[in-house]
Amino acid sequence: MKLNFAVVLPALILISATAALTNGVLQMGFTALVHRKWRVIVIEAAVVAASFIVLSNFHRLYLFPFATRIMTYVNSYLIASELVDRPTVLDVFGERGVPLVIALAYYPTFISVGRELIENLKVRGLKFSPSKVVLPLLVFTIKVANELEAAYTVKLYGKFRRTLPKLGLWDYLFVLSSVVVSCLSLVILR
Amino acid sequence: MKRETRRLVVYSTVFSIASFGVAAAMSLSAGLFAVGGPVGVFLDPVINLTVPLLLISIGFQVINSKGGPLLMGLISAALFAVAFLPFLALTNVVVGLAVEGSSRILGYRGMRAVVVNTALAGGLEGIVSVLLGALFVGYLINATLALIFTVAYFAESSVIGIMSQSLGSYLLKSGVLK
Repeated sequence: MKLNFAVVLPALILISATAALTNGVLQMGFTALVHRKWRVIVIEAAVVAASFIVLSNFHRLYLFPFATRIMTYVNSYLIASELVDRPTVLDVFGERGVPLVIALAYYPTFISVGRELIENLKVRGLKFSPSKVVLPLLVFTIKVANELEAAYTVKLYGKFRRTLPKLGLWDYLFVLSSVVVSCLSLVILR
Repeated sequence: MKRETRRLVVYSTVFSIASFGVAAAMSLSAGLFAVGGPVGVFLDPVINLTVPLLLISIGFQVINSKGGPLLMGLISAALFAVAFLPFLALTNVVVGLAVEGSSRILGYRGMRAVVVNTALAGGLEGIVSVLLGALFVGYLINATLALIFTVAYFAESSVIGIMSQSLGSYLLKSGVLK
C-alpha cells in the first residue's frame, strides 16, 4: 500500500495543525495506527504515559500536549517516509522536492546502514565501540551531501510534466479518516 | 544559483537535518520527553551535546566557508520551530551568530579553530537552552546553578571538539573531505 504525496501532504498538515490546537491524543493514536510499527508505538505509549504521570505530579499538566504533539510529528514523519510513493513527491514539488525526498529517505537508509555496520562488527568479532560506528555514518552523511550537490549540478532529477495525481482507494480512505479525526478532536475539545 | 551558494545550502541542510534527526531520535529513545518539563530541560543538553554536536562540528569543517555556521544555525532553528520548541529555535540562532563570528577570526579547520568553535557552539547551546527552557517551563535558575551548568557544558563540548578534530583530520587524510 503506497500513498500519493499530493494527498498525504495536506492530510498531515491538517493533522499537525489540529494537534497544535488540541491536546493531540486522538491525532497521535490515528497516526500511530496508520504506520503500524509496533515497536515504535510501544515506546511512544510508554513515553507519553510516563510524561503524564510526572507532569501531573509536578502540577504542570498544561505541558502535556507537547509530548503528544511531538509524537504526532514523529508518526507523521514515519508515515511520510514509509508509506509515500517517492516519485509522487517530485510530481508535487518538481525539482524543489529533491531535498525532501532525501529527508524522507534518511530514516530507513540510516537504519539499514547501522544494521549493516553492527552485522559487520559481529561477523568480524570486533567489540562495539562508538567511534567504530560514528565514522562510517559520518562518511555516509558526507557522501549524501556530495551526491545531492552533484544531482543538482547535472540536473539528474530530469524534467517533470505535472499531471493530475492518480488516486487509489487507500488515498481516499486516508484523507477521509484524517479529516474525520481532526474534526472529532476539535469537537471533543469543546 | 551560483555553485558556491548551492554547495553551502546543500551541505548545511544535510548536516542540520542529520543533527536534528539524531538529536530527536536520541532524546525520544532515552525517554527525555517522558520526564518532560522540569528534569528534561536540564538533561536535554547532555544528550544534545554528544553525537548531534559532533555532526554540527563536522559540518563546520566540511562546509569550510563564510556563512556556513549561520546558515546551519538558521536551518536548525527552523526545524526546532516547526517542532514547537521555541527555546531551542532561539538558542540555535544565537549559536549560529556566535560561531559565525568566532570562525571569521579563527577559521574552520585545525585544532584550535575546531575546538573553540565546537566549545562555543555546545556551551552556548547548553546554557542558553537551559535558561530559556526553564523560563518556558516556569522556573528561574539562580546564578550559581547557571555557572555550574555553563562550566559543565563548555567542558563537555570541548571534549567533543577534540573528538571532532581527530575525526575531521582522519576524513581529510583519507580523502573523503576535500
